[in-house]
Amino acid sequence: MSAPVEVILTSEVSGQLWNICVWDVHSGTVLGTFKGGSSAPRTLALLRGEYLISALNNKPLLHVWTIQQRDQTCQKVVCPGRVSALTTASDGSYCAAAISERIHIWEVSTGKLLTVLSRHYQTVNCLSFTDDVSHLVSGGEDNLVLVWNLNSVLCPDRSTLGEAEPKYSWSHHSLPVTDLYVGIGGARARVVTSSLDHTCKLYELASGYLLLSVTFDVPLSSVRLDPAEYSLFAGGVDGRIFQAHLFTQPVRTDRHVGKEDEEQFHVFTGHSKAVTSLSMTLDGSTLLSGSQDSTAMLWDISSTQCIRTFPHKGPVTNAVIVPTPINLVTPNAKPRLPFQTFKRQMETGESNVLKVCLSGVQESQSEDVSSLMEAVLHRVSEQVNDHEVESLEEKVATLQQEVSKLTKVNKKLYEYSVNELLK
Amino acid sequence: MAKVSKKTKAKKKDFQKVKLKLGKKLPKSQNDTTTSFKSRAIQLKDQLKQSKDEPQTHRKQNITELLGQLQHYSPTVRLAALTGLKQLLTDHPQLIRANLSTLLDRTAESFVDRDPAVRRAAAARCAMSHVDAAVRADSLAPLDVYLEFLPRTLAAASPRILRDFLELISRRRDEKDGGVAGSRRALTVDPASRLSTQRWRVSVLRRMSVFLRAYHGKEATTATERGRERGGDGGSRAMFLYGGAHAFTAESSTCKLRDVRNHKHRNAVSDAKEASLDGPMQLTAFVDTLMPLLLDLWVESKSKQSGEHLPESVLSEEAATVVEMIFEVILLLLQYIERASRDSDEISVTWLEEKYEKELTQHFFTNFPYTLTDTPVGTGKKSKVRPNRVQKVRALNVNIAVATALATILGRVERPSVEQQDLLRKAEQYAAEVVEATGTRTATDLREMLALVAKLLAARSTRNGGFVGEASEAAYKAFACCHPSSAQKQRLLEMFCNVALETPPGGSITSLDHWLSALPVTLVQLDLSQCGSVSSVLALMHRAASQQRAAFLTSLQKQLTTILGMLPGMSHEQQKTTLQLLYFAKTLRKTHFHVLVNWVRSEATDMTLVKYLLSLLNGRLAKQLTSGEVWTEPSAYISYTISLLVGGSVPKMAEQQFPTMPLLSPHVYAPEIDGGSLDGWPRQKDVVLAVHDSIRLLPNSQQVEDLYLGHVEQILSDLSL
Repeated sequence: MSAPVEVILTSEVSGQLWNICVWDVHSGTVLGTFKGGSSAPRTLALLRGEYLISALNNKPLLHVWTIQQRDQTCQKVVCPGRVSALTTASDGSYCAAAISERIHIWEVSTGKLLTVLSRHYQTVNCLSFTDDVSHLVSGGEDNLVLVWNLNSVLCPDRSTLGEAEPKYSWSHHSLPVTDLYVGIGGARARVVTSSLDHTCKLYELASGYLLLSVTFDVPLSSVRLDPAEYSLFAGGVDGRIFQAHLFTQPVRTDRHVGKEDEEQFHVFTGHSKAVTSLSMTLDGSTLLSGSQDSTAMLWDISSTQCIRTFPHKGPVTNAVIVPTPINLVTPNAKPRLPFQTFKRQMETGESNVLKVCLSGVQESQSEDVSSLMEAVLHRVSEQVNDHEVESLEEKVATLQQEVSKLTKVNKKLYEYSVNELLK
Repeated sequence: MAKVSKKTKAKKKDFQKVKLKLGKKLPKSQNDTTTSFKSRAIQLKDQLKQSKDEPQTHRKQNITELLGQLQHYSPTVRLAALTGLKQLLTDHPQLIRANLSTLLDRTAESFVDRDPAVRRAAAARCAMSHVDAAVRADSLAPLDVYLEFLPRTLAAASPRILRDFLELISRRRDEKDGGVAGSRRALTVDPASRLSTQRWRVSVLRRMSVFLRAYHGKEATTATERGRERGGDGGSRAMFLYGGAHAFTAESSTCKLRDVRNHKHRNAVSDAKEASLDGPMQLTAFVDTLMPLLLDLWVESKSKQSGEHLPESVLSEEAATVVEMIFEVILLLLQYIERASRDSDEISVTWLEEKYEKELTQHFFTNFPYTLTDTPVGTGKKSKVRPNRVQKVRALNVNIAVATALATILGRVERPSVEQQDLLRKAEQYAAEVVEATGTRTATDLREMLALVAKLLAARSTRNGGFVGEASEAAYKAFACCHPSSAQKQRLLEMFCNVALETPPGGSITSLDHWLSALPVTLVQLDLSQCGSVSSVLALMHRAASQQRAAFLTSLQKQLTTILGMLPGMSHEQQKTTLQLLYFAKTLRKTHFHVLVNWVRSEATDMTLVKYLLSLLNGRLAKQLTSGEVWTEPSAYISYTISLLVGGSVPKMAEQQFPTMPLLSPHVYAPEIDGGSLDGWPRQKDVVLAVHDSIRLLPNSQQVEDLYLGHVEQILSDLSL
């Protein structure tokens, strides 16, 4: 049997049987489980398809599993506090975790704590990198959505420049931000946020403008765009999931989805409690929702019918659809991404010695490029010995003769054409 | 001689023969009838024309004719045509739009009319570059009108107008006497002028500052419109296009006009570069031209003043005006530079600082703060007219302007020298003094003053927090004595709350916390009819609440009951914001819920808001439950929801003799509970449904159920007693 294209990862509060479970999207069979504790909401993340990271619900710990060794015990990383949101960069270079109102960013390959961002006033509820790892978006209990430019945030001379400033600070929500989703397109992506104030807001990352605000009649607990960004899915705290089309006419910047026009907006009814997470397959035809009523449901979008229900022991905290990690189906593979335990404190007294990652897997942006260049040049100059220099000089001499010969010929040609042909 | 009887004589007389003589006039016969007649002339002033579609003046002239007559050789006709136009256009303003281009063309021509009456009548643009000095003088009056009504139109022609301004007070220093500095200008003195040169220059400067401000405003609006357009708002795009077209027509006509004039009067030196504000290069050039002029102007007026043997920090009346105008222009230029520096790196305030800091310090800043002389008593009437208060205000204006410029220019310096620090210190002390006396200021002064404080704060924020505390303390003193609903109080509150909210929490400046804790108190004191100020205070409170500022939350906790009591008087949006505060409040007690229940029960309350409140409280509870904190207010919340379900208070029901409360049976929703009327029934049903939904959605169902049951039992046992 060939491996499925995509798999479902879910976690629930109780963690009685397992922490994280892997399901087949189509058949609904369990492909594997990861044990140890239970994950906090919005903290489950894959690290380049080779590791699985999640933060514990009640302890200041991160659990890291290697994908192929699923039944073995996991690696534990101690954090400065309880993690309320966690995300990883798509290329596996960084991991960002929110610990109350601070955002910690680690470099995965060295485990270095690169920076701590503290511009939120209250707990950060959700975090997301853009798909090109150029920006980090964070939304918090203090109604703010902040966009951080990673290049400026991770600048090595941060200490001289002072506190890192967010690129944008969106303060349109009037109650805590519960979820956010960054679309496809790197720095030009669109960001959609949901909040307890009954609204979803769509922003453009490039300009920072608020493009659209959709008001629903319930507080919202999760949000998602389909891969083509045609429609917006918002999960309410009453268990309903709304689908709002983004291309309806007339174009308005402020829309209200009320009870009276529910025909225009599809509603998925099935959950009885707050929808905590939404996720979609790549083809945009099926939607996965996890809810506090201890079920995760798979929906067919075009018919708004529930295809399959995944029962859980407790409220579902994470439910995501991810492309099948290769290591999951090839048991003997080994992770190529080096993983170091995250450090709890920023390194002080930077040493000048550089660790160059020769396997080429990791390209660290934080390291000083100029000194790296010097090191390379130094190595090059060592290798070139005297003998090679001599032979090169000879070559140069012959080439110069060649050039002068060619110039002569060219001059003759020119004279001939002027004198004979153009007479 | 025979006696002829009297009778015969009389008879003969009747029939006497009339002798006709040659050369005499023929006597008229007795039966002669005069056939000639006299008549009055009928004067037709106008032709009888009936045109219903074209509006006309009372002289029945339409706009085309009037425009034609503007070019008539006779000044009287031209004047009459202008008066006619004025009347026509005031009566039918729609004509302006239709004929704008021709209208502007023609009226503009008449500004340079020889005849003074016509010139005065032409209510429009400037003829500032005219050779004749008198024409130039008059040109400023119509410019004022233009500035007032069509700032945008004028702004479109900015480079030319700015150049004309320069031309008015200075002349280009020629190569022969100027030497190396080719673009340097020198102030001109017009010996023939009636006005004193100084006063003339000041009046030009005043116009210039108004113009610069107008231009600034135009740029800002275009920018916002562009922004909104990008935001996808179709309506504003159309508006923007219209605005552009409007500006374009006006510009084209002006350009034509100006070009003609340039060829006539000047050798059309292409110094447009010198007087445009659009690009950073041009701006630099303009500032370079203008700044020396301003400094020269000051030096001249100072030298005049020095004759009066006054200390340097004391200004005479005239000098004060000069300083005021100079700084108004400088401040505007600074604004331009700041904005330009945002777009490109070629220009910044630092550049200005490097170039002119020495001169400005030497001439202005050292003597700061200024005082005005008392007008000498001996000069007669004038001194009596001018009361002392006016002078004080003037001095304040001058000082604020100087201090703002100082703060802007010196605030950017990376490592200020000792002198610079002293100057900044002086400005800060002055600002603190001024702020403390705020109670006596008018609103406009206050705005400028707060701008100054903001500048100083910006300059200082990176260095030390000393001034922030100082200013906020001073302002808080003033704030405390203000009338609760005064505009000053509102402004101060907004300004300092914003400062407080922007500084990171846990800072050392305690006086900023005063402001935050003052917010709920202010809201309570406010009159709900002042919708705008209530909303802005609420917005600030919301921000403070979402940042979980400790000082604010404590104060809110104290005032929460009163604030909730104000709910019925607020507008829909304000109610919503107030409810949102509940989400962030520290603890909700029974008294709070009591007020809320009354609010929900009132007929006037919007049902959507009730649902909003329920979902909000629900969210609050869910947060407390999931975060593993102790559920601090369960009994209050449960009794709240139950009393909502019941629809009447427990003592009231006891009065109405419902000894066995059927709380758990369906009869609980029976309308009798509400005193027998059926009106409240549908509403109560909605409330009950909403409450039911919200209870259902609470996490940890089992726990919630136990709590509710316990509570209901409690109520029942109370009732049976």
